[in-house]
Amino acid sequence: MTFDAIGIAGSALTVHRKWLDAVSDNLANMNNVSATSGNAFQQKYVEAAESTGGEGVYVKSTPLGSGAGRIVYQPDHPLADANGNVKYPDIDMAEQMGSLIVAQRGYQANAQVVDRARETYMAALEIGRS
Amino acid sequence: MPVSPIAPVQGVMPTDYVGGASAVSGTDGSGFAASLTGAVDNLQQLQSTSNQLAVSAVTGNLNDIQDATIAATRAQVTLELVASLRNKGVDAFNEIMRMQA
Repeated sequence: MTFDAIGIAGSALTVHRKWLDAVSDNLANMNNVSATSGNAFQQKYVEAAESTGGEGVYVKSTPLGSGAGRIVYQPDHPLADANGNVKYPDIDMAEQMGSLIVAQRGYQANAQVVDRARETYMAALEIGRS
Repeated sequence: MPVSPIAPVQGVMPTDYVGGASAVSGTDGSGFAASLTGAVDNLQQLQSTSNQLAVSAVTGNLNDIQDATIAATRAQVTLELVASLRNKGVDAFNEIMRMQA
């Protein structure tokens, strides 16, 4: 389709929705505690890339961050090791909130593009009417 | 100081005759009908996609909300387009019918 602003903006909406999902997952698992022998919760990232032929954007992959985490001394915790340490995920809440705002605004911007494209096409249909 | 005389006005040259327009090649009249049928088929496909997505939205099988709304928007714009094409066609037909008498 040649006049496909609606479809292109739709692909961007999907990408931003997936980004919102990733941020949501990161925030949901932010306080997970794990034993120092295993991996902490790995932060999710969304890798977006331009579609071939310039028809919008798509999620190329969802790479995972480091599982090293933060070592916290909590000797009372059931998962603590011999030294009394547990692992927390290394997720920066402020950074996640910033990503949340950017993802939301990106989603809204592309929703606006869909609306404006519809209005524009409707204006084109009004040409020569009556 | 001598003043040079004004040159006389030249006679007007006759113009050529207007060349006749080349004949328009006739159509078999099926072009508009085929275009309209194709547009209606396309519209039908868009509307069935929109309906399927609406069904999956209410049954909880929809991943992206915007897929349903975008399909509905596309179907709406295309419907308006096909409707205006049809109206223009009917207007042209009526105009031709008024030519008699």
